[in-house]
Amino acid sequence: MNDESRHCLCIPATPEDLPIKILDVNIVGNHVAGQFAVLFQQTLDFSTDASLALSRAETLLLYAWQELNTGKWSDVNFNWHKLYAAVSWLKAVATFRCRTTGESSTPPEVWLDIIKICDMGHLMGGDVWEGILLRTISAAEAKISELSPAVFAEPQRKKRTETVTICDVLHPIEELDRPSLAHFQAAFLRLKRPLMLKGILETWPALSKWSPEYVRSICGSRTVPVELGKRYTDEDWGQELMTISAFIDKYIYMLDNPDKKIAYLAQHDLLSQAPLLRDDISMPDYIAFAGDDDPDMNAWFGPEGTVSPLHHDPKDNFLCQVFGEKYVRLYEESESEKVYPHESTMLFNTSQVDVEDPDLERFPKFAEAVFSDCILRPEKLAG
Amino acid sequence: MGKTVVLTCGYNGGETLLCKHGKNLPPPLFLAPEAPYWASLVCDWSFNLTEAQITWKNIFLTKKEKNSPTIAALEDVADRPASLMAGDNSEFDKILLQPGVVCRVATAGVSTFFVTSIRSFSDNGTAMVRGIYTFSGTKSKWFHLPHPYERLRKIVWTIIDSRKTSPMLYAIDEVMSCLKITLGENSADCVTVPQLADVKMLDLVAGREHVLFLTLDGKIFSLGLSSRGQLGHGNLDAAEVPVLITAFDGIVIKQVAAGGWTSMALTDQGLVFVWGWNSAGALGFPNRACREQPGYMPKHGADPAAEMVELLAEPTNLPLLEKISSISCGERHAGAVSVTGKVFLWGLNQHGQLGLGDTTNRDYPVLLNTLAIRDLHVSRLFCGEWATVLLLPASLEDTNNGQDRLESSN
Repeated sequence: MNDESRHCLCIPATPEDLPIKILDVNIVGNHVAGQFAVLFQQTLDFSTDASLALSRAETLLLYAWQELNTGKWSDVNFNWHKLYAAVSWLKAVATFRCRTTGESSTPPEVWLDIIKICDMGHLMGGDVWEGILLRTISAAEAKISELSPAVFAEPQRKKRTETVTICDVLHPIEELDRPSLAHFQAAFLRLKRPLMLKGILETWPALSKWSPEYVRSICGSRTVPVELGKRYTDEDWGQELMTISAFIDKYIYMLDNPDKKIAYLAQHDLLSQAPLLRDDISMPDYIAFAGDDDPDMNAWFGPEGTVSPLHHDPKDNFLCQVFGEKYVRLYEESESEKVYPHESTMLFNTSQVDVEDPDLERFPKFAEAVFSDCILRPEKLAG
Repeated sequence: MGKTVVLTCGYNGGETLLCKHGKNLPPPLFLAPEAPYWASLVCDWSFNLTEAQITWKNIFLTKKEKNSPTIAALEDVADRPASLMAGDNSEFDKILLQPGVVCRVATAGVSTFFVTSIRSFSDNGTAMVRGIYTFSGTKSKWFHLPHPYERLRKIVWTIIDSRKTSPMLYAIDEVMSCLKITLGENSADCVTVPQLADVKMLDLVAGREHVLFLTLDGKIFSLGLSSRGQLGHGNLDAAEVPVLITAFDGIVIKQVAAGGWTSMALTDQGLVFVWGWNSAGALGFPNRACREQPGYMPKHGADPAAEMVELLAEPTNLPLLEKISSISCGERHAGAVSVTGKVFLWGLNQHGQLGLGDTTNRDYPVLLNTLAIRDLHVSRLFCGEWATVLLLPASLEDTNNGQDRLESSN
């Protein structure tokens, strides 16, 4: 393997620089720890057969995957995440070794597969060895650009010539332009009253830069979990993994999608996966002021017509609309009974009522439920 | 009792996955025929099966390079049923090889190995148990079972319960009552399970998140998590105590099996029912990810518009060509043996555990029809995590049951 490839795969000059003892043997057991050590050695020793390393990596990934799928996700011991992440990187290196012959240049498809492998590792396992998965992805993306410079379409921002109303706003949420932190705290945060904040996102580069093509240029090759089907309460709802590029083509541009099926890249930590996007936004002070200096950050990216069913979250939310428009309806906690939450353990935070077309025979009290609503457009922050 | 032929395929412990044909596939292997009769055998993912030396009384399976015994040495049990599972912790070796101590071991999850050390078997099939020995990595501990629970028929455990990650242990005692075992400081606390106080238990099996209870009169109860419907109550809600699966009202079940996240039942009419997670086609129903595998061959005559099944929360009949006599589940694969000795396998095949000569998952039951197995009558099948073991009783006339044919086909 030449130095350039080693650099792209983030293989350190001396493999001893990567600490091998990252697993707690009391959790993973002697056999797994032993297999991991053998895999590590086989992968980074270029004189050995790379296909053996690859199959061993697949086996360890299967093992970790089994543990990650047992019980509640939040209860899974972090050693399994570490194992999945570390083995994913080793699998990427072993894959590269298997697919590269001699000194001939490695084709871009191999680098795309390496990105896929590292992305799966990151999705299931987080990261390890000082962010080796994201570093490898970054280097691989740079390599692909070098080999086949992508032609970026001119960012197409659809400027609406007229305002198209998604839905009538019946009980407008209060709007304020950059209120003081004190007023925000006293009149809204403390009293749990909703507020639409204006003028906050003016400084965000995202507002002028972000478009489907821009997102594709930054992270088109990255694998993300996409929700298929209009609502997560529908029977035919499901999740699928696909690259962002594939998602944009099929579900934003509706190419090769004759039935105009809907999919939603919803509630995904896209900004951690693609740190370059993170640079285009900045955290409004109101969030830190609300007491959380490490908030969850999720992105929602989808075509027209996506719906998130009526639900409540355990944490406060700041929803920022970067492009497009979203109708938002909010009910206070006191109205909970009138919105008929599901009784099952899975959907207890979700209402049974289809807000767009409520069945008032089954859910009569819903007609009396008090709400406030708004349409979010770029340059407004609803909190 | 006569000789038994044992065939196996699947994961062999990670040391070498190359077979004689040079491809990365372990074909059905062949073990020495001199095993005593095996009533049940279950193997875990590290079932090391390379050079096998099986004698009448002592069964050792050795690792190629270490040449040290890696599973139980059963002494003087040639005429007793034995339940074996393999582990590979070195501490474990020491316990097992103590003279006079016969062990019944199992792995639950990964880190903790539970061993019930058995002193002897009695005539009615119960075992005199010394206690429960657990060890994980570098720590180990003995838990003694109180009187009168030193004699057990079976013990199962799974790591996950519905609230906290502590082991759930259930057992069938000498008089076929169902016990729940809680591990205290140094001893085990045994209580009869109230919901099953008036019934006799035929069997207990456990997956990664659930336990199935089979009563003597053919009813199934289930408890644990139902994240993929594996409890069979028609929803995804967990159960903390055993709950009757009402879908089987009026049906007599004679065998149950549990995979990682799946459940399987065999009725007294030879019908197979499955429920739980259909990942990799583990339930034998159409699975989308299976179909997207490179080299996937659909079932002959299959309906291309068939609905994909992600999970089944209710027991569902899996149509098989023949009446079935026994079933078994691996982690995500499963198998059935018909009354005529034919074997059907389906599900995960990443390590060749379906014995079909490739590593493509199957989301439909496949008749095992390779040269090695054709015309041979299989009596029982056992699925380990990633391996499958077939038992063929040697016929009286043909004492090696086609061993010559097997050897020449390799």
